[in-house]
Amino acid sequence: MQTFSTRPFEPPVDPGVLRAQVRAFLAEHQPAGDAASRANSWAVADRTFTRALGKAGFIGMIWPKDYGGGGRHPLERYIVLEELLAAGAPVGMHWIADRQGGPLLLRYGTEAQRRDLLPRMAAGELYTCIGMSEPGSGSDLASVRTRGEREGDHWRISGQKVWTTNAHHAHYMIALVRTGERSQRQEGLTQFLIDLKSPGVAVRPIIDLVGGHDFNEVFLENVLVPDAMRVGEEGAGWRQVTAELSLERSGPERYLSSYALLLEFIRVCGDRPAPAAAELIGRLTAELWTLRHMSRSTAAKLAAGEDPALEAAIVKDLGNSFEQALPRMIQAISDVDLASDSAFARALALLLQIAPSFSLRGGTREILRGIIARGLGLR
Amino acid sequence: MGEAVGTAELRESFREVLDDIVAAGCVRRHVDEGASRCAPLWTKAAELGWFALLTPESHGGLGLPRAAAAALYEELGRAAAPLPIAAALAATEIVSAFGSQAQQAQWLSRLAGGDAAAFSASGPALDDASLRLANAALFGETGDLLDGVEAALLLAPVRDGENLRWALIDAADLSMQRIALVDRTRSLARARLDGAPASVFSADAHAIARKLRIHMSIALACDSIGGAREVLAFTIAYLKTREQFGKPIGSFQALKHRCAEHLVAIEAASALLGEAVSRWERDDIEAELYALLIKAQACDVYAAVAEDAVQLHGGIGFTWEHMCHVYLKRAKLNQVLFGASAAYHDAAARLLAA
Ligand SMILES: Cc1cc2nc3c(=O)[nH]c(=O)nc-3n(C[C@H](O)[C@H](O)[C@H](O)COP(=O)(O)OP(=O)(O)OC[C@H]3O[C@@H](n4cnc5c(N)ncnc54)[C@H](O)[C@@H]3O)c2cc1C
Repeated sequence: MQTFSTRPFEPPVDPGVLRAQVRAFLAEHQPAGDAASRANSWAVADRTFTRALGKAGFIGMIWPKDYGGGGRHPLERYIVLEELLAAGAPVGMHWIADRQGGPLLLRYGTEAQRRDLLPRMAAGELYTCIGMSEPGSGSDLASVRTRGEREGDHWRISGQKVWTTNAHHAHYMIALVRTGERSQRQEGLTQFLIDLKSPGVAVRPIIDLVGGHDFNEVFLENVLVPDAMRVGEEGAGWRQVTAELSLERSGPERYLSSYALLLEFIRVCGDRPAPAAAELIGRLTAELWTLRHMSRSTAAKLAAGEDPALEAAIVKDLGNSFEQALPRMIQAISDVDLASDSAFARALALLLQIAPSFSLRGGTREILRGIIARGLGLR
Repeated sequence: MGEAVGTAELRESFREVLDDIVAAGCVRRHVDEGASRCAPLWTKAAELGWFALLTPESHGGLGLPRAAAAALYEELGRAAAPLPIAAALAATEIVSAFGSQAQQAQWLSRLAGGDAAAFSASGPALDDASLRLANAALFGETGDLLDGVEAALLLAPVRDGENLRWALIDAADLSMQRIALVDRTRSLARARLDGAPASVFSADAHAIARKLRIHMSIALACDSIGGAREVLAFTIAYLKTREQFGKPIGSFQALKHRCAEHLVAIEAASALLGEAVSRWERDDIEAELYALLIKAQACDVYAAVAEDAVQLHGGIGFTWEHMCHVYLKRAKLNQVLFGASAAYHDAAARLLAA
């Protein structure tokens, strides 16, 4: 049986200096807004902010300088993310490129792909989205049916992706495609970067339950993709995607989505909170602190070259439960003014609506529990 | 728990009408457009005498037992129906029980015919009564009026010098401002009164507040049980058809056990609700205690089921197009209308200790 052994978080620089730099950047560039606009901020896309962040060297921080990156240590990046997310900065536009697109190319991409795309990603000018889920393939990702047929030095790709966050902003979709002849399940899947301006691509909005537009359906009809835009070997898609998902699951975004509400709650409670409020604040802070340690430990393991897939699943599951319960617990003890238009009321209303999605995106709670159980040797 | 034959038949008839309304897309359209009044439903309800359920026969009503209203509230909850009727029936009770002949003559037949009523949904905080009475006219502002812009009649606690009284105010004499809510099946309003004529009840203000509170607690509990049952039903139907890993996701134990837990919670709350309704019916001494407990219990169960329904549906449950969110938002609003669960638990505890 495995246990959650922790690893110290030891960045090679003085975190205080780096934090001060990020805070100075935010003071200058973060758009004005209230707690509601700062909630779940890694889903909020803002091109101007992203460009400024790129210019300041806070995107692609850990990529080699040769490719426009910062050549920094992964734990430095982690510190920067903590600062950005705790401040509720709108990092949604470049989030996928920074977290998945870039690292994917560094691991599996061709030299030409890296030279072409990474510098623009790091500059905050080129965005990607993730095309994994399909109407028939959500939890059972290995069943994807979007098909690619080789035609000389191109691939002809047809199928449909769904829940594709930011496809309407992104330049490229990182798509998981079935390419094997008579391939079953995990075999025969390949990843491509599909230029969303290609003929045959149609992006249609899906309106979410808040009434907002973040995710989309992406229809692919005989889209011709150059073989040069294949990422990694033909048939290696599944292995690549699983590695990518564990990167995706380990960051501080997995427990900070409701953090803006906690801060606002503390602010409205003032210096002398009622006993029930004080108790709740203490309890939430204790949980937050624990999660932070677990998350940082997982980041330290990743940085040391370990593969903490299990730990990442544990932190995401715990973190999602925390960020999901937080708005509910705050609502339960607050005398919410129903008609109020205060920042607190709006942040609370927004989070109460979107919290259910925290345990769906990036792998559902049930799927994560399956992974954790497998880590215990239960199959 | 069996219900009286008459009530069961009535419930069946409510359900048929509401099924037609839902099938005609009325609820869906109402939510999509953010409209304030769902005219087809309202017209039908008035025609069928739903607003007259509790009106005494002497005033042209049906004079039915309160269980009939409870059945209606549960069916309305099941359909997530945008119909402001609970406050009208509660007002009917108040005017019937405490009104003078003149007040009854003025209001009972209007209410029975389908006029809506409104009062504050922020709980019976009588001490904060903000309207002042001077020379039989009212001045001030009052808020949190559930579906207020639809109302023809406003019921409000008013200050008459040292005295606290409830008053009836014709909505034609005041100005209402609509406040849209996340839950689009309902809305709130603020009213400004600038000398509106008031007709004041002589009865004890606390007795009236208590009656209103019992009525609305039971109404919201019924709405919640009806809604929770519907959410669970359409979720289970989805789990039977959606396949992943080559089989219906409803066959995964992690999911079917949760459905079983939801059913257990709904049935437990429903049993307590049955008890609360029958005590209300009999004006039992513990009717208030039961009403408070079931308001908190049923609303919390509804919210938990509706939240988990999104999880059980996966991505599709997080869309505007799907009905999950309509119920989720209604459940969340039910939890806070007329005070949140914690306040209900406190109030119930005080009654128990008394
Ligand atoms: C806000 C948001 C953003 C998203 N962004 C993206 C994106 O950018 N790109 C992308 O590709 N996808 C994205 N997704 C999709 C997300 O990854 C899927 O919703 C998720 O994988 C679940 O798939 P599904 O929606 O098809 O649900 P289903 O797989 O149909 O699952 C329905 C329910 O069944 C449960 N279930 C399924 N199988 C099992 C099992 N074996 N045992 C127990 N329970 C099971 C699930 O946990 C869930 O509760 C996003 C989703 C959301 C909500």
